[in-house]
Amino acid sequence: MGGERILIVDDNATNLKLVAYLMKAHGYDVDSALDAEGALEAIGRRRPEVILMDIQLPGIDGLELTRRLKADPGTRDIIIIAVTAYAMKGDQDKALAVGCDDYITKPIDTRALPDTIARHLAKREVMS
Amino acid sequence: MVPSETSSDSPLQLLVAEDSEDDFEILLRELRKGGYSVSAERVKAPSELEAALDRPWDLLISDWIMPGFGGPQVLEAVAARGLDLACIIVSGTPGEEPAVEALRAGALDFLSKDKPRRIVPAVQRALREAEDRRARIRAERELRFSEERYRTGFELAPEALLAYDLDRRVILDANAKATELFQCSRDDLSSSDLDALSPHRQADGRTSSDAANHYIARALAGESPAFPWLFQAGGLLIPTETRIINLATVGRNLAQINIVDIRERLRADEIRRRSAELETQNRRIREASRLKSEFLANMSHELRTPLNAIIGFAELLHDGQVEAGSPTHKEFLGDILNSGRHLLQLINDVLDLAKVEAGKLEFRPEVVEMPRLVSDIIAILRTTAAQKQIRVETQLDPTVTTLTIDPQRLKQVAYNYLSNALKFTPVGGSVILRIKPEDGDRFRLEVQDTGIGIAREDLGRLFVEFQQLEAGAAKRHQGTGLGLAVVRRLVEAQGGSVGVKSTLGVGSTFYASLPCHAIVMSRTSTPVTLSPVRQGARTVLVVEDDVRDQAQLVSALEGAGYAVELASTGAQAIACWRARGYAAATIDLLLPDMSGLDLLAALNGATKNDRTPIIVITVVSDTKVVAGFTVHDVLHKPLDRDILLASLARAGVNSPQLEKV
Repeated sequence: MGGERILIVDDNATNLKLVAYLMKAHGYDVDSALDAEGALEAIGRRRPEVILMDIQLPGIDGLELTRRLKADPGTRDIIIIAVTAYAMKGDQDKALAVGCDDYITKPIDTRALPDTIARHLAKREVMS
Repeated sequence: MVPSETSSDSPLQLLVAEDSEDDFEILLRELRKGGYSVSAERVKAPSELEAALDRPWDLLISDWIMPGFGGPQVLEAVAARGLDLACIIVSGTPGEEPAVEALRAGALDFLSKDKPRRIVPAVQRALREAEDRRARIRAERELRFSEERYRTGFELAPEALLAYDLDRRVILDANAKATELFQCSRDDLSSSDLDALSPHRQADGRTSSDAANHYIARALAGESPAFPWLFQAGGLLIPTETRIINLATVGRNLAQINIVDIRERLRADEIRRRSAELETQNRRIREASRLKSEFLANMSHELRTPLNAIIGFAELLHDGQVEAGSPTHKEFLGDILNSGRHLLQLINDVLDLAKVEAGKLEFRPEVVEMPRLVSDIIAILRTTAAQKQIRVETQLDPTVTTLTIDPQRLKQVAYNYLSNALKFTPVGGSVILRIKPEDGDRFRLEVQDTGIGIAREDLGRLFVEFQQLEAGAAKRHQGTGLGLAVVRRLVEAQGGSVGVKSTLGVGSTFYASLPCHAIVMSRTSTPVTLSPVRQGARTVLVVEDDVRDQAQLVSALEGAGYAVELASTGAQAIACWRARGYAAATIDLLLPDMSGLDLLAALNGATKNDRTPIIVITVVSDTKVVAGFTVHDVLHKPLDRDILLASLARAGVNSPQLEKV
C-alpha cells in the first residue's frame, strides 16, 4: 500500500490542515476541498480512492454530495468516510443511509484514523 | 235574518216563551216583515224552557204572564245559567211596575203586545246592545288575560326585572328573580333607586350615580340602552348586563329594567381563557424543548470543531509526528492556541446566554462617560482594523456623553457589532460607531459597515442562536454563531431592543436602543427597592414578571417621582402588601406562580392597604375579567406612560413632583 489518492472535504481550514498533514504523514497522496463544488472539481481532475467527507458544508452539504457520488457509476466505488462534528443519535444513520462506507466523529483519533482507512482499502482489494 | 249587524246569512235563532199560539205567530210575522229570517222555537212550560236553554240562541222573547209560568221565571232561569242571552219581555198587560221588575231582572226591553210594530226596532236594539256588551266583555277579558300574562311573565322571568319610574327615579316593582339577586324583599326594592343597589363606582371608573344619570337620560330620550353594570348585594359585587326598556306609557315614563347576572358567564370565560393560556404555555414549552434539543445538537457540533484541532494537533505533536522546533511544529501549536481561544469564547457566550435565559445576569449600572468607553472599545479592535486597512470612525452625539448603564455589558454589545462589521467588511472599507439620542430618554448605539450586506430573507435569523449565515460559497466566517444572540438578550434584559438595516453589497447598520438611565433588573427572590426612597416619595408596588414591562413601568413611575418596589411573583406581591403601606399598586394578571385573579382576591382581602388603589395592567382586552374585584383601573399593554400617570392622578395618588409645584 501507499500512494493512494485521498480527498479531504472540510469547510474548516484548520481541520483540513490537520487531516491533510496526518494523511500525508501516512504516505497518501492528498487533495483537499472546502466545499462540494471544490470536491467535484478535484474528483474530476484526479479520481481519489478515498474521500473523508465533512457533513456540514456551505451550499450542498456532505450528505447530498455523497448521495450524488454514490449514484454516479463513475464515482460509486470511491470509499467515502463521513467525518463530522455532528455526534447526535441519528446522525450516523443519516450518513450511512446516503451511502457513506463509514462514519467517524470529531474530534478525530489521529492514531486510529489511518488504520480505519487502511482497513477499508484492504477490504476493497480483497473484493476486487 | 237581516238588518242586524251581528250575524250574516244564518237565521235569527229565536227562543219564545209564549202560551198563545196566535201571539207567537204575530211575533214571527212582524219579525219577518221587518226583514229577519227567523228560526224560532216556542216553549210553554219551565221544563221545555230548561231543555231549550241547553242550546245556543241569539234572542229570547218571553211573555210576561203565562199559566204556571212567567217572565220573572224565564229571566231567572237565564240568569241562573249565567247565559249571555238578550231577553225582551212582551206583555198583554203592560204597566210600570212589571217593566221595572223585568229590566231589573236583566231584560233589555219591555213591550206591549198592543204595539207589535215596536217589536222589530226593539229586537234590533236588543241585538245591538247584546253584541256591544259581548264585545266589551271580550275586550275586558282579553285585557285581563294580557295583564295576567304580563304579570306572570314579569314574575316568572328567568332574569331579574325591575319596573322603574324614569321621572321619579324610583323602583316600582321587582320580580322574584330580582329579590333573589339583591337578597331583599320586594318592598325593600320598591321605592329605592338604582344607586342604592350599586357600588360607589362602576368598573369603568365613573361613579354609579353619574353613569345611571347617563343611561336614564338616554332611556328618557326614547332609547333602550343596554350596558354592563355593577350591582352590589350582600357585600358582593354583581357584574351584570343591564337594559332599560322605555315602556313609553302615556303621561308617565315607565321602564322595565332587565338585569342579567353574568357572574357564571365570566367564570366560564375565565376558565376558557385560562385553558387557552395553558394551551399556549404548553405549546411554548414544547417549542422551547425542541429548541433546547436543537441547541444541544448545535452546541455539541460547535464544541467538537475546535476540539478536533486541539486534540488532533496535540496528538500529532505528542506522538512525535512533527519535528520539534520546526516551523510546522510552531504553526500547529498556534492552531491549538487559536482553537483553544475560540473554544473559550464559545463557552463564555454560552454562559452569558444561559445566564440571561435564567434571568441571572447581573447588570451593574454606573455613570459612564461615553467618550472614554468608546475609545476603550476601539482600542481593542485597532489591530484587526489595521490588518484589513479598515477605517474606523466614531460619531458621538454631545447630548448623550453621560449615561447610567453597565459599562461592561455595553462594551460587549459594541464589541460584538464591531467585530462582526470588521469581519464582513472587505479590505479598505470603513466602519462607523455612532452613539445618538432617541425619544423617551433613550439612546441608540449603531455600527455601520461597508461590508457584504445581508439578504432581506436572512435578517430574521441574525439574532438567533447558531444561525450563522453562509457567506456565499466561500468558507464559513470564524465565529460562534452566538454573538448576536447574546447581544439581543443582553439588550432586551436591559429594557432595550436590537435590529439591523442592510443592503446587499452596500453594507449593514446594526443598532441597539437602550434607556439612558438604566434600572437594576433583578429576579432575586426578595423584592428590591430600586432606588433610594426619597423623603416623602410615594411608593408604588409594581407586580410584573416580564423584565421589559418592569423596566417600562419603573422608568415611567420613577420619572414622575414615585418610588417603586418590584415584585415579580404573586407570592412576593402578597408579602409586600401585608408588610408595608403603598400609595398604589400596578398588577399584571399573568404571573408565573398564581392567577392574577387569585392575587386580586388575596390583595382585596388584606386588611393592610385596604384603601390602596390597584391598577390592573393586562394584555387581556376584556375588562370584565376583573369584575367582582375592587380595582381602581384596568389599563392595557402595551402601556402608555401618560395613561398610567393619569390613572394614578385619578386615584388621588398625585406624583410627588406635581405636588411640589
